[in-house]
Amino acid sequence: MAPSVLIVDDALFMRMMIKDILSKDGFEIVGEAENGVEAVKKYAELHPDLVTMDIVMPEMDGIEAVRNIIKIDPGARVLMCSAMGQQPLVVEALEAGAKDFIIKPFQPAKVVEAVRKALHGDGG
Amino acid sequence: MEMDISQYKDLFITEAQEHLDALNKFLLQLENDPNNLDVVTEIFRSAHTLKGMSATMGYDQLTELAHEMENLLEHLRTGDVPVTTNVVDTLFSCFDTLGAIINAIAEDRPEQIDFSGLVGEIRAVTEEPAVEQPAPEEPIVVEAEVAEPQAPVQRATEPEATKAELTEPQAAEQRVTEPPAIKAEPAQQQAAVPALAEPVASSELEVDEADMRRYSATPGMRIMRLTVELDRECLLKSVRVFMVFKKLAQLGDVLGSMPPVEALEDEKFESTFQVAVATPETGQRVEKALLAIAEIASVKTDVLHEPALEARPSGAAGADGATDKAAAGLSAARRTQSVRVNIARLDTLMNLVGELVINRTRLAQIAQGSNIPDLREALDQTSRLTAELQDEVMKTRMVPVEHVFNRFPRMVRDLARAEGKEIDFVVEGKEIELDRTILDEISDPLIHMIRNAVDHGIATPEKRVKQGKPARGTVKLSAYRDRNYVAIEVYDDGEGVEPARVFDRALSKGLIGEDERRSLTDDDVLRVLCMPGFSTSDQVSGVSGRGVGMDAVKSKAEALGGFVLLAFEPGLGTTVTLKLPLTLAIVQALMVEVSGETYAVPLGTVRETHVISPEDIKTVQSHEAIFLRDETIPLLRLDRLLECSHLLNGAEQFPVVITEIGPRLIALGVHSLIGQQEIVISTLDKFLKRVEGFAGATILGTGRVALILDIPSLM
Repeated sequence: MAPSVLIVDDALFMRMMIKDILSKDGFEIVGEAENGVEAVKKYAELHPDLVTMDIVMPEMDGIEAVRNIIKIDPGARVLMCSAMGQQPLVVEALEAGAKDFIIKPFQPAKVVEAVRKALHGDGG
Repeated sequence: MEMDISQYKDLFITEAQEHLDALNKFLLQLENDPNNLDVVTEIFRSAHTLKGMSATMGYDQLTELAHEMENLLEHLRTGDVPVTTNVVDTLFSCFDTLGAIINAIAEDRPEQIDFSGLVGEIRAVTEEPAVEQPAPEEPIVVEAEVAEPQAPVQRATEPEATKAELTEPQAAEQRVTEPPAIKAEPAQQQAAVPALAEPVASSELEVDEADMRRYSATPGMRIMRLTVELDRECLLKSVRVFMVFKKLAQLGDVLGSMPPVEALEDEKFESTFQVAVATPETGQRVEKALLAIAEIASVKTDVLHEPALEARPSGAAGADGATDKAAAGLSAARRTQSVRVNIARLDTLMNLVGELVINRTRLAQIAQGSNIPDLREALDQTSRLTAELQDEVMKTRMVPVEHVFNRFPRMVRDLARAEGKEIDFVVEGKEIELDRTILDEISDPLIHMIRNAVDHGIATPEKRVKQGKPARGTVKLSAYRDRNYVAIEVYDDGEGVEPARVFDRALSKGLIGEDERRSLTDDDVLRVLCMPGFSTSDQVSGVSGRGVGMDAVKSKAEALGGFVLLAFEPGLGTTVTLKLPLTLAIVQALMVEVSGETYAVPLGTVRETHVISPEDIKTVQSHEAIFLRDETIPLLRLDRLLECSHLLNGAEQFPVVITEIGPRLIALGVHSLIGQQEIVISTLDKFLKRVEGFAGATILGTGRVALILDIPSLM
């Protein structure tokens, strides 16, 4: 079965793009969320194999969302989507339990690589 | 894998516009409440998202400007730059420029917009306080933070404050000199760090002899040197290093690295670095663990010391849980909630529904002639379903007026500032929905109406105070449902309209003659105001008073099947109301017959129907009128107006349809009433557009065409 992915980003445009990239590569997009609160709720509901998570979002930011998701499921695989110039936030997210990150602007090949690695690699 | 980015352009434009609206809205809020940090955060977030989107699309200009803005906003957020008028003005200019660039992109205009002056402005307002306050310069502050050994702990306890500082790219770069990533690691790794600072002569990483001895003595421990290569295009190398160290710390103890940690943190290396680690794991397993990190191109392992005893099985958890989890997590909830549909598709859908409605009416008419109960029943069902379908299609086309209203607070603010007026702008009923097509069309008329309110309605604070009014004027924009119409109202508590001045002006402009001037009453004000070429403003201001305003509003309203109303109280205020049908395509109508022809009267304008006798008709000022209860209603005989071949003789009773547009009533005399029915409106062709009295045509169930009466133009 195709791995299931939950896409979290406050920009519809970004969600569309990630969705297109991943669905072209055979992933199944099972849900979308536009803020951290929604992301946590959807995670609990859908238990996707992977979450792509924007950092700067309204309601609850991506880092807080990662913390909450990890609380629900310590094995959750969350891939952070970050803009340039956010190193410290990325580190904070990784410390919170995110598996990996990708940097905007996205290159499809890199997104797919990061997603594959997060899914199939050694979770440690 | 290549990707065609252009397919996302429309979506990008739409969303970028939404962000721009939000930015304007929040900045207005901030201007009124400069200490509201929440609003700053909202603005920051929108700007940040816009930047990310633009970068993804490769729109460098947008990215650059959004980035400059973000810098300024960051300073507002931390409070080291106060929210001054200058700052607000600069941000507004930024938004305007962003808008211009977005428009250029939307229209495929390739030219670059020069905003270097604006960037200078942004930087100037950002620097301002540094000049005023002899506060230490930024790098010093940063250094002080770096020297603070508990920095990572601080970050954990005050995530908000630190995050805010760090998103600013320059600050972030400087902060990299502080090694937060590594320090946050488990103690054993930190202990290993000092050893790394020693100069390493060899081109390969050597492990400290003491470490070699100690770990070699530990049963089951391997000591290995890993050569890790990052992708050439890797963007945040220091973070990748952090991830490698973190992973290794989970597997064993990090003994050292080359180049040393500080250099790795500063990204002072090409793409390859070496790490020494003592671990019970096999080389293969360590390699696999590191390769699971994105942008790690390769890992080479040199085992420097094999354990004396066989390695214990690792306690580290595998990654095999994923499949179980996937199976368990599958639920019916897997679906997407919304899709964006091109408006043209919805138009086509609406047209098809329209055709369906016509055919249903036709079927119903055929069925009337027959007496088959089953057919009747099936038809009833079809009717119900068609109605539901139509309702749903209509709903998909409805958009809250908010989409158009959102831009006006900014406009009123700018106008008020330009004219030295103080205005509270109130918006009500943002959630009211209108057909998308109508909404797109009313933006311009609303701009005229609001400009008029600000320009001609609200006086200067001095003048208002002299008149005993509060210095701040109020302009209110509200939307509400009114039967089959949506009313959009612009109210101002300003000067009101002085009919005499309006008429005199029309006279002086030659729009009306002397005789006409004398016969005009207050009821004629709107008509005169809406005459092409009329303007009440004594000076032509930059924004309105060019004599196109109300004329344009009226013709647009009528083109959309709506109308304009005016209410005023000299010296106290003016209300201009735009009444619009909910939808353009399908309306309820009262069908009437005049001299063998069928006509449709939009039901939204119908108040009641009556049958009158010749003696009910009185003559008032040489015009026919009927008295109904306490009202005198002008009578308009359609057969005479339309110059029909068959006219009613003076002795017959006949039905009248009382139509109502705002306060004005008119009784339409017809030959017979047919009944209420849904009609699909077809607009008249261009060459028929100028025909007064008709709003369009509709196809009847019989296949014949009926004209739709345009009630406002008959008033």
